[in-house]
Amino acid sequence: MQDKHLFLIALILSVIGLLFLLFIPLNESKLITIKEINKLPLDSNVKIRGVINNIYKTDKILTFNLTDPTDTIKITLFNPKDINLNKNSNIEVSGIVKTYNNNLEIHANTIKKL
Amino acid sequence: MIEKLISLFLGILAGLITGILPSLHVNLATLISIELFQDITSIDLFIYIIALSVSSAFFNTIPLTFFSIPDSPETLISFNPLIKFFSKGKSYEAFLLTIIGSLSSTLLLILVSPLLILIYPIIFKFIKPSTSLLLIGISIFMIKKENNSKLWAIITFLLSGILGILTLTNQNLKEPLLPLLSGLFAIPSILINMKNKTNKVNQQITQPNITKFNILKTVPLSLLISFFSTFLPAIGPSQSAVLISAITKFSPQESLILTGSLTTFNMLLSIISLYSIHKARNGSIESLNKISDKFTFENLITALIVTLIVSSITTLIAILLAKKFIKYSDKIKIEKLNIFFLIFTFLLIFIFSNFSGLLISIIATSIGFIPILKGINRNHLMACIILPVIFYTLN
Repeated sequence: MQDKHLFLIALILSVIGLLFLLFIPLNESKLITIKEINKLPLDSNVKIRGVINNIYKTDKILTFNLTDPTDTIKITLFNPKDINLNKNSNIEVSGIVKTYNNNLEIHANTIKKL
Repeated sequence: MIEKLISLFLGILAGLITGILPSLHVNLATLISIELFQDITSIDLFIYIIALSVSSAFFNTIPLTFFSIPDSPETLISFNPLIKFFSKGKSYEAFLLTIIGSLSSTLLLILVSPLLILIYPIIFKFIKPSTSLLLIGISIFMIKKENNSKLWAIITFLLSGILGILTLTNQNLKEPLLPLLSGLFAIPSILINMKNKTNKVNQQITQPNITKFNILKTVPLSLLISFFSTFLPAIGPSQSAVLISAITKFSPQESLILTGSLTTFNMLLSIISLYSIHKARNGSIESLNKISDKFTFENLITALIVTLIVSSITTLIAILLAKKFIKYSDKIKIEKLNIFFLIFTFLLIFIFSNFSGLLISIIATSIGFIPILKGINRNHLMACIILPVIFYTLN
């Protein structure tokens, strides 16, 4: 294959690839209930919605319980900067399933107010 | 005591493996190791990680020196001089020069570490507010320094930068740097090697012809630039080399000493900065924070002593290994090795980053081809980290 052709293929693939990534999200988690998290393996990416209660916040960590109609789970966010959450707020959390003291919890990547 | 020695030698072995295998970055190796060695004591793990980090900096140039594969941005600076030495049958001499750079840097760093510890916080406070401006300035400088097509340098910069932003902001992608950097650097190199069928050149054991002046000119300058680079995310040894080249020219031998020196300082300065300003720019050194709650003065002394021991042992191993490589170089089938490296890289990406990682690596490979085929500096591909950092700091 000549370098000229290889270059054209590379350039076209680069642009198409970037457009694909821009408009089609990779690995976006499906919205699930908190009860369904029990069936998932650790380190799964999840997206859940619920109501906040029992907020605890320091400079390095933010934890709260998230409750939906099926269950309650603890959410942890490390290094919470500029995040302001209130009790009884409806939010959506995307994160990873982890355990702490033998209990399942979510290490949040993003928190969105609804 | 025996456990500590075992940890030390296991760390050196792990560093050798990460050095030889393209795409297996020291940060990933550290992550895997921490998972594997959960049952060992924290001091043994500490010694292991330091040994792994230091030895990998020494062995980093093996893929490029002996197989013509620049597997990471750190080794890009030596690409041209190493190819020249390889084509003249002097790979052994080239590798030795990088080792001289690495060893000299280790000794210099240990000597000046008390001073560095004192000035790190002062300089950090001064530079931190201007990080994004400095990064923009360095990026513009690198494009201006481009000898060939500046237009394609800008296009490469933008394509790579956009890919970096899309990849690094994807929360669902694990180990995003693996497909990103492998795709931009290692995979295109392997594929080009396979396409061009690198001509075998008979390698000889030749000794470097350098003086103390060559080392004295290169290593302290390397320390100066590396020191300031530690405050700038995404500015690694390759970019530092471009900045140094604006100050002075280097002979091919000095370029190789510079390679070893910049790569080693890049790693070792992280140890100093971890103690001094509680930040390390390398994931492997940063992981030391997970082992003990705080990186204390005792940890620093232990780290420096281990560094000195490891660098000495690694130098001896490197020389012996290089001689073996040269002796058996006729029997090494480069074509089969390239195929092995390619399969290994894609397997690693799939294991850690799944199908999304494979997709990212394919797109990155396409972008990675552009500077090779257009004959421009591959440093512009580092926009994959520079642009996301600029946006993050501006935000």
